[in-house]
Formats: sequence, C-alpha cells, structure tokens
Amino acid sequence: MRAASLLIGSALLTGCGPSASAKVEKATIALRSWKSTLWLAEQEEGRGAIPAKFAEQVRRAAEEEQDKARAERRKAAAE
Amino acid sequence: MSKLLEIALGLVTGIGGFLEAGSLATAAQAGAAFGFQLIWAIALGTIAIAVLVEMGGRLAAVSQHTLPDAMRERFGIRFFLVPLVAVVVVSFLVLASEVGGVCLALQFTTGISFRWWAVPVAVALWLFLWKGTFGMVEKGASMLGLVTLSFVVGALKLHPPLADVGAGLVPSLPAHDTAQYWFMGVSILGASVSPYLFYFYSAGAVEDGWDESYLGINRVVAGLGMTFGGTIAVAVVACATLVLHSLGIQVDRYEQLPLLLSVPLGLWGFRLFAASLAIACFGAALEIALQLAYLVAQGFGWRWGENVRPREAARFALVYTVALPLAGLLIVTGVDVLKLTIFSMALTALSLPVTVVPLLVLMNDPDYLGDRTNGWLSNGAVLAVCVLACVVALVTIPLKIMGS
Repeated sequence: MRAASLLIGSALLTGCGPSASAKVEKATIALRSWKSTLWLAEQEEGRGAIPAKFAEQVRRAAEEEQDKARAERRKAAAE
Repeated sequence: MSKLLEIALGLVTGIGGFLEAGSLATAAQAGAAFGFQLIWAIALGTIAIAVLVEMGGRLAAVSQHTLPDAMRERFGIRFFLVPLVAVVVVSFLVLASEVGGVCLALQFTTGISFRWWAVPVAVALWLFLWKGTFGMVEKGASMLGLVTLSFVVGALKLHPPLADVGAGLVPSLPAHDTAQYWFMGVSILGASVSPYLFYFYSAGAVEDGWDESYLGINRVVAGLGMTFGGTIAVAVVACATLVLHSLGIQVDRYEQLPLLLSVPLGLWGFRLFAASLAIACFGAALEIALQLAYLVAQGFGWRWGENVRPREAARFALVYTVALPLAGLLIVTGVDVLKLTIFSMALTALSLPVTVVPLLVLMNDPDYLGDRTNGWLSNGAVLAVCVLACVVALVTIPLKIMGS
C-alpha cells in the first residue's frame, strides 16, 4: 500500500508521463492495428460476413483513429 | 415450483446474465492485447463473484434481510452512507456503459449513430421497469441472454489451443506494456466482481421469498451459474486472441468487436454479436437500474419492490426514473463508450473493499446468520481478491490516466 502511494505520488509530482519515443511507438502500433482492422473488415465484407453498412462504420472509425494517431505521432516527434 | 426447475432457472439466469458491456469489453481488449495471458483474472474474478453471490443469497435466506438493509441496521446510517455513495457512483457509470452498449448494437445494425438511440433506449428500459415484474427482469432478460453462448460456439469453431488456454490460468508477466497488462487485469476483476451482481441477487432472494430451504439451491446456482458465465468470458478472450491478437489488432473502439464472431460464424456471427451486445447490455442495465433503486430504498427504509405497483413504492420507482435518463444523457454527449466501460470497471475494482468488507462483517455475525456464518476460507479468499484488485487499481488508474 505504501509502495503504491509512493509510486503514484512521485509520478504525479514529477509529472511523469510517457517519453516522446514511447508516444511515437504507441501511435505507430495504433496505426498498424487500424491498418489490420481495415484489411480484416474488407475481407469480411468481401465474403459477405458483415453488411456494407457496418463495414462503412469500421472505415469511419479507422479514419478517425488513424488521424488521431498521426497527430499524436507528429506532436511527439516535435517534442 | 420444483427445486430442480428452480436450479435450472437459476443457472440460466447466471449464464445468460453474466456477460455485459464490462465483461465483454475487458475480455476482448485483454485477448487482443495479451492473448490468453489474462485468463487467470477472469478465473479469479469468477471465483470471487460466485462466493459473494452465495453470501448475498445466504444472508437473505437466513436473516430475511437484504444487504443494504442489514448494513444500515448493523453499522448505522452514517457508516452506510460510505458504501452507498461508492456503489451509487460506480453503478451509475456502469449503467451508462450498458445503455451505451445497447445503443452501439443498434448503430451497428441500422447505421444510425449511437447517440440518437440513447433517449429511446433509456425510455424503453424505464418502461420495462415501470410495467414489468421482478421475474420479467430477472428471468426474461437472462433467458434471452443465452444468445451470448454464441461466443462459445465461435471460440470452438476457431479451435483454440487448449494448452495455451490452460497456461493462461497461471498469472505471468507480459513481454510488453506491463502497466496496461495490470490495468486490464484489474478491469477484468472489476467487471467480474461488480457489486451490483450480489446486491441485486440478495434483493431478488428476498423478493422471491427465500428461506433456509433455499440454501442448497443458492449454493448450486451461485457456484455453477457463475462458473458457466465465466466460461463465456473466457470464450470472448479466445475469440479476441485468435481473430485480433494474431493480426496485431488492439481494441480501441467497439466497432472492431463484431469481427470476433463474423470471422468464425460469417454473417450470422455479425447478427449474433449485435444481438448479444444489445440483449446482454439491456438486461444488465435493467438489473443495475433496479439495484440502484433497491440500494437507496432499502438503505433508507422506504417501501420497495419491483412486484409492487410504482405508486405504492413511489420513492423506489423515483430512483430508477432519475437514474435512467441521466445515464441516457451521458451517452447523448457522445462520450467514448469503450473508455467509459473500461474505466468504470477499474473504478469498481477500486471500490471493492468499501462494498465487500461490510458484507464480510455481516456474514460473520451470528445475530444475522446464526450457525450459517462464513468459514475462514471464503472470508480469506474474497478479502484477498478485493484487496489485490483495489491496490492494483490504485496504482494503475493514475498511470493509465497519465498515458504511461
């Protein structure tokens, strides 16, 4: 319990967030993940396993999340 | 009703009512990020909730008290306010997640944004509670909830490597992202050991008029029902591991989840996923809204009961009448439902000692339980899981918020 409070306290005091390189890596993983999601959704739509209406929702979600990840990556790289 | 039929109905309720937004989202995220590695958290949570549900039922059957009622009587109203506030806050967030889950299922099938569905869903839930009976809420929703067994079918069709599933039962450290691993573990524990489950179960036992002759049924239903329910959560992990983890896909949005069943089951898998999400979340939302009303009404000694007409238990009905629109409004704002779900599960884990320790004190009090008090094993096991979940939550929630 004491160790936990110390860890949290010091993290908050030092404002320790992830490093810039960790942020870049996290954004890159997110981009890769969404690329694979889009690929899988296309495969599923192609074989009729998901309706086109839903595939469109996946594409929109992927676009939003990829934009977010790219912005994060740019911001982190500039730090 | 014959005891066997009651056991069967109880098991159906346990299985059909187990999966909800929290357990589905946490299991899917865990499987996608860490494969089978977090199955131990589901097993631990399932054992803890089975023991807690059995305790809630035993307390009701032996003492004829519901949990809030006994807590207020035993500890006084000032102390009771602490677990009351904790459970109300956490349950409200979980309720909003469940409403969001139903709305997302409707979005997936209609293409209309989930925000537009929030108000109609909240109204439908309110109408169900206003007009329905306890049996309809408990048994009806859970029977329909059997559709979640489609995750077991999906997992079996994907042929999970049983040795890896078994290895997941033993806790092991991940090769990457340790903070995320523990945060996911704690969210799974929060999703499994939701206080609303044992509060609702205890109130239901009093509504159904249980006495000591129901203790055997209680034990079987709590033990087997929750174990089978936990199996569905493991099946979700298996589907997420084999469909998403293998492609390096992490779960950031609910939109990725229908792929869990469309891959093994085709278009029917997509339909079954949408039905599972909608029904499981609708059923859970009914139970949580009702449990909030039970908690407040029983805690303050108001007249309560889902089988009583709303005008005869007006303040009881007022609680869910207020909670449901507020939950709906939170979803209308466009909040990220997945983040809301995961964080509300971690907060549930954080609040566990506050909600569980008073129950343990009651369960060891012969004034309430006579010679049916707890054994040392159930006391120790539940306390250990709750303290572990709380400490890990205390460490990982700030780390997660800081994005570490």
